Amino acid sequence: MKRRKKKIVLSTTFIIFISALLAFVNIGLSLILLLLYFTSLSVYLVYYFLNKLITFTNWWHNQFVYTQQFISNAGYRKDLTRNYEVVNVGSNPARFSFFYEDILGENWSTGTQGLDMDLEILRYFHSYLKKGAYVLLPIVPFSSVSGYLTKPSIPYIAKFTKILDSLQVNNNVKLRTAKEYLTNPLKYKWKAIKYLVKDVPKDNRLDIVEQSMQLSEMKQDALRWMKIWKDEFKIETLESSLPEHLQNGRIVSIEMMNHMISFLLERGYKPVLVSPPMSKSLAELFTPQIKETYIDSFVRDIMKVYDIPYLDYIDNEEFQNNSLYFNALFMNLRGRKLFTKRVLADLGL
Amino acid sequence: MEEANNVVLSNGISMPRLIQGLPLIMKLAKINKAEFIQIVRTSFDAGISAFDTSHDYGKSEEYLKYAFRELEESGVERKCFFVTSKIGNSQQYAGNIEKYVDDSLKTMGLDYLDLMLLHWPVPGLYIDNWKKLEKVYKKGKIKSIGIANAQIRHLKALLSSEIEIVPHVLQTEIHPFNSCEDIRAYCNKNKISLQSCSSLCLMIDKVKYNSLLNELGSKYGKSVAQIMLKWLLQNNVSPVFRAFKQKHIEEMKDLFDFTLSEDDMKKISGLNENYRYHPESVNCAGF
Repeated sequence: MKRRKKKIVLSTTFIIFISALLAFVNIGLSLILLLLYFTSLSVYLVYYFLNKLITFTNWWHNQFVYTQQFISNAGYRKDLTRNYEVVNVGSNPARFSFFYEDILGENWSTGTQGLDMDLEILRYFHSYLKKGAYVLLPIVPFSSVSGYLTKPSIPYIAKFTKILDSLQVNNNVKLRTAKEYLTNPLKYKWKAIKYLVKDVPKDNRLDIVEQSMQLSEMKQDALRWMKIWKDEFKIETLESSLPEHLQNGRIVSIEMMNHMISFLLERGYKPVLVSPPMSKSLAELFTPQIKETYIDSFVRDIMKVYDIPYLDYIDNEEFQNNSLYFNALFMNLRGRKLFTKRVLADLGL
Repeated sequence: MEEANNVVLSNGISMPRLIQGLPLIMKLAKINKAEFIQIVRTSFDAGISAFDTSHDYGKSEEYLKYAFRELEESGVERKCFFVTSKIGNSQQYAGNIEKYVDDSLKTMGLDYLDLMLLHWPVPGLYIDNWKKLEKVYKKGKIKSIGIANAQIRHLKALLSSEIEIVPHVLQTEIHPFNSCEDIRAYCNKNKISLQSCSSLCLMIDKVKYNSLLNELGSKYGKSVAQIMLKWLLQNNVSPVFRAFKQKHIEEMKDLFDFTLSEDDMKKISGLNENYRYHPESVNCAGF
């Protein structure tokens, strides 16, 4: 802010000086110069303040709502919690699968989170884990081809620049480029200006305890999820074998997962693959063929390299009960508590 | 100081066993030059002749120049004090190790450093930077070299990387709540001298009010801090501590006039819970 003020003061002084000189030659030109400059300056200042204002909206805060659990370099001298027994990474389904009620654990999913960011989070925060701690690596629908998504959005990546180390950010091209979004969001999402007029509700999905959809709505939501995945990964028919355009994405995903497992094993932690459950409404659409193509074969490929535990709850009827969810895929608080207890029991914790 | 208060490194250099840490960061950044010089003077007068600083410790290196100048003006020869500094992570990324050694020397007004450490084993960089540090060592600008905050896997990787010099010193967080038995055994076997940082675990409540340490304090007529530092000394670890108040500095003089019994040493070792005050990865991503 100080540097910005200084720049404005200096450039204003410079323009006034030039105008004053120009006035001796042609007063009209001098006035035009001043008008152009102050118009530009006004536009710039309005743009600057709009960017500042947008950061007070729910729309803005919702993007970072699942990043509060991380204890940064600046925070660890106040928060003395160490030696977590278990953590999980993973994308949205993982965010809404785990809740560590009776054990020192933490959910290191920030919501939408690819395998590459799983690893960056582990690289920065793993020392909070106790020796030999469990690290749950969720295999959520389409983790196996997430490597296909090579152009992540700037707002998505910017979320991670807020929680990771500055050297880690500056030495990663994707992260470094996305940093600007934190101070200049309107450059990347100019339509967000509408939220200054009518904001969105605050994201309070973590507080939802009960099923908030009727069965008919759950079924529609399940169809919606299937459509989202088909569109995201450009899959025509989910029942077919892995499409050619996703083959490379599969290879990349396997490499990223193996890299993460290797990282954890090298440091003495216990990685565990976990396929979280889904509601009955969605499980009915996730046929054995789809599961084989997009989950089971992926897990087998990983297990060829690393013999680590795999806990598969997708077909577990106990956790398909719709009442444990608030939409077809995400568990509500009651569901998360029950499911986490089960996973911990299965791990012997 | 008596010879018993020094340890001889694998290259024959004598290193004092008690080291005053001088980080001027966070709350300590408000310490001014005059106060800093006084801390160094008081420490030296109390028999503490080793000082630990770093490029990343705020104005510490800069103020040390004035503190050393004052010591030298009062007749203390350069060889009577031992200076450790460290290469920071951003410097490791930049890679110009010799330049950063020269910068430290210039900032502190010294002709040589007694010990230079790589502050962290930055993944993908520390082994190459170690080799660069070896070259600077051979030029005589540093009397000994080492690494801080490394674990056994880092040391193994280093030692198996065709390096010429085994680290003379490893500095890492060791105290009764993080006893690092495996690291101590490994360093002992490989003749790497150990220094502990955060030796008092910053006296957080779990340490300050620990019943065993307080009981032993009463038994030996010492403070909790003295009991912890003595445990380190008897485990052949040279503690880096931070004592900025006169009375705390003075307490260091009384560390060599008592011995913890073997039984009490075992009891203190039993406090271990692998508790690290400084989680390594949030200081060095990828640790």
